[in-house]
Order: sequence, then C-alpha cells, then structure tokens
Amino acid sequence: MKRVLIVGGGTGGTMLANTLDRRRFDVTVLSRSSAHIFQPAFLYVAFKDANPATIVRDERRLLARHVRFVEDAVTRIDLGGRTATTGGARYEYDAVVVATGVTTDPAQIPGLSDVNAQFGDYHSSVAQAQTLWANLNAFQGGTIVLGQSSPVIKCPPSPVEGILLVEELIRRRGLREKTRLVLVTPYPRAYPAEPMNEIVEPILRSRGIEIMTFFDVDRIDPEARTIFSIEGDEIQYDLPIIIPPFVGADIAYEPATVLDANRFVVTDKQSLRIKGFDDAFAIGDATNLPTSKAGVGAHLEAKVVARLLGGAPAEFHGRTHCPVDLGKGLGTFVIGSYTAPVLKYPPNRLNHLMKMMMGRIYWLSLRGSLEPMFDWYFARTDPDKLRKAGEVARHA
Amino acid sequence: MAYRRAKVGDEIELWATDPGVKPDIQAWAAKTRNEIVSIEDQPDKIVVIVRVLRR
Repeated sequence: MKRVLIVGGGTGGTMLANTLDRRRFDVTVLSRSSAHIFQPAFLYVAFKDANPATIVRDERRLLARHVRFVEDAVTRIDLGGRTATTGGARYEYDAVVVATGVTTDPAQIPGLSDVNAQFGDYHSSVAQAQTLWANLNAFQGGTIVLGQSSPVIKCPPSPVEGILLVEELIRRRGLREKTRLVLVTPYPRAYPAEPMNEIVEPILRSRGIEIMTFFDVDRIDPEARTIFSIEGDEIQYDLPIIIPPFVGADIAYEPATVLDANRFVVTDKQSLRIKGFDDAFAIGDATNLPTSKAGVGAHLEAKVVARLLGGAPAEFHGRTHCPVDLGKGLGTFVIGSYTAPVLKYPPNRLNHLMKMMMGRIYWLSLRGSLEPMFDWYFARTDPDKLRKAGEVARHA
Repeated sequence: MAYRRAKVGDEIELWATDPGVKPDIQAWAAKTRNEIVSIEDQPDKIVVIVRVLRR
C-alpha cells in the first residue's frame, strides 16, 4: 500500500482522498480544523443573511470511511525526507499532496486590520461575514466602498458580486437614493479579463455603481475614514468592504524555495508537482498557478493528481468555471483555461440557478459520485469548443 | 506587487502573455505618470519595462 498524505481538508483534499483507490492507497488527511466550510456561501451570509449552519459540516463525515482523518496543524514538511510534522507528531509518506488553501492577511495593509475587525469581510470566516451583515443592516445611507486590496484574491469575481448584491440590498431597504456605491479595483477595468468586463461593466453602470480603476489600496486611515491608493487617489467611506490580501498556510518547507513571496507553493502548471519533486503535489488555492483561486480549480486538480498517483497520464489545463452572481436573479460564468481567453458568456437565470444549486450538491460532489455529470458538463462548456461553435456569440 | 515595493527610480520588468497588456500598461502609465521604457514582443512573451517616477 502506498502511503498518501493529504495536508488540508478543503475541497481539493477531500475530493482527492475520496477518489483514490482504497485497494492501492493508504490515505491520511491532516487538517488544522475538522470544520469544512463551503466558502462561496460567505457571500450569502454577508449580503443575504444566509444561515451559517448550512455552510459548515464536519470533515469526518465528508470523508469515505477508509480515509484516516487527523485534526492537527502541520508546521513543517520535509520534501526531501518525505515527512510532515505537527506540534506533537511526525508523519512519513510515499506521496504528499498539499491542499492547504489560503488565508486572509489584512496586516499587510496599514489600517486594514482595524477596518476588517470593525466592519467584517466576506472572505475570512463565518464570523467576519456575519459582522459585515450586521454593519450592512445597520447602514442608513452614505458611501459604501467595496474592493480588493491586493491583485490576487480568492474568487476573482467576488468584488463584482459583492457590490451588485450590496446594491440589491440597499435598494430593497429603500436607501438607494441616499447611498453612493463605489467599486475600487487595482485593474484597468471593473473585471480584469476584458471579455467578461464587457458583460459586467454595463450592468454595474446601469445600477449606478461608480468604478475607480488603478486603485491599489496603499493604506486606510480609520479616523479620517479614508482609503488611499498607491497611485495617489483617495476615497472617503461610511462603510468599507475591503477584501484583504491572501497568503499561503503557515508551514515551513524544506527546501524553503518551494514557497513564493505570498507563501504560495511553487507548482508545475501541468503536472501539479511541487517544483523539483516527483512525489509531492499541490492543488487548489495553495498553489502559485496562474489561474483563479476557486473551488473548480481544486476539484479539477484533485482529479489530475488522482490519475497521476494511479499511474495514468494526466495534465491540468488551467480550466476555470467560476459562477458569478450578478444580482436580480442573473448569473454568468467566468470560463477559460491556460490557453483559452475568458469567454464573453451571457448572463441568464439558469446560470444563476446553477450557482445556487452548486451550494446544495457541493457536499455530495466531495464524494466523487457526481463526476460523470461534471465530466459531461465541463466537456460541454469547454471554452475552445464554445468559441468555435459560436455559441457564445449567438447568445450574447 | 512590484509597484507596491518599488521606490522612485526603480525599474520594473513585467512579463505577460496577453497582448492586452499593451493598452493596459499605457493607460496605467498615463494615469500614474510613470514611464514606459520599452515594450518588446518576444516569441513566448511580451516584456515591458517601466521606470517608477512617482508613487
């Protein structure tokens, strides 16, 4: 039996553990927490008061029975010596898969820790999302500024989703006339990829949302309630919704060179192997791959690693398929890959329903039992195929 | 990221594969009044060099 150690019990780690052949692999999942959170739903806790109980489950109940689960925080991984250590234990492996995700790090931006603590955010935790909901609910008019404070974030469409859901909420509460809504972004346009921006920007404008581009958050002055950009702009807020920077897990690696400046694991784009090692892989948000940090990546990367560990050929092609909630019951998807530029994928109600449905079938999908359906769906929505078929143009 | 850590006088070398980088970097330089030293098409990438004049 080959000993596979999976570090991290999120989307990627759990799916991989459940899909490895139990006759060939002795699988251990080590995770710092047994609470498995469906993170995309932070959006709905923060902006629609969703019940947090529906988005958290016990990891032990999501893993197949033959998988060993240990709730313990890994502090060190020695890739050459094939061992991982926690505070009190040492684990030897034949292959390791790092699926440790990312965490928010507001301390990188002066003033942001205080702002996040007071107003909450929708990327860190259930509690932070609830804090944001409480602030939105108490809001009585003024300026709401929403934006990312770092170029690389978990879920690239989330700033656009956030501001559109804020707009919907504020309008429903009868405060739209008394509220100025501003989306700030470090990018040249509301959505970084031009084709998706062609969908998103007209929607933002039609709902009266201002867009400030080239706005890299430099610092925030909570006393003056002002956000300053590196580019020299500033904006005053009454309610700031600032997405913090992200960093990789606090794990020391041997060799240390497998981590980049953000503590993301330096990973081969196609084989998902950690730089320089045949028996070490990284999947999901934890990697430095040039693709979106989103559940779909973790899902598809887990499949590639499962095949490679089983001795079959496989490659990751950078496929993304991120649902975008555009408010008013509309949705679209950010669809692309390493080689296919993002599509101009038209918004409709079905796309929105599919996003909502994913929140329900997520727990089942972790078992791997829905893979035939996902395989069919991802093949049908392959970006190259859709572009060739002219399907996108026809619907747009 | 590099701009965040840069000081006035520094040069930043930027690699991109998307040709959209050209109008985007020009718009950025115009907005921030920094200088584009060069934009070079190479077989596998586009290399942009920017000199930081202010930040």
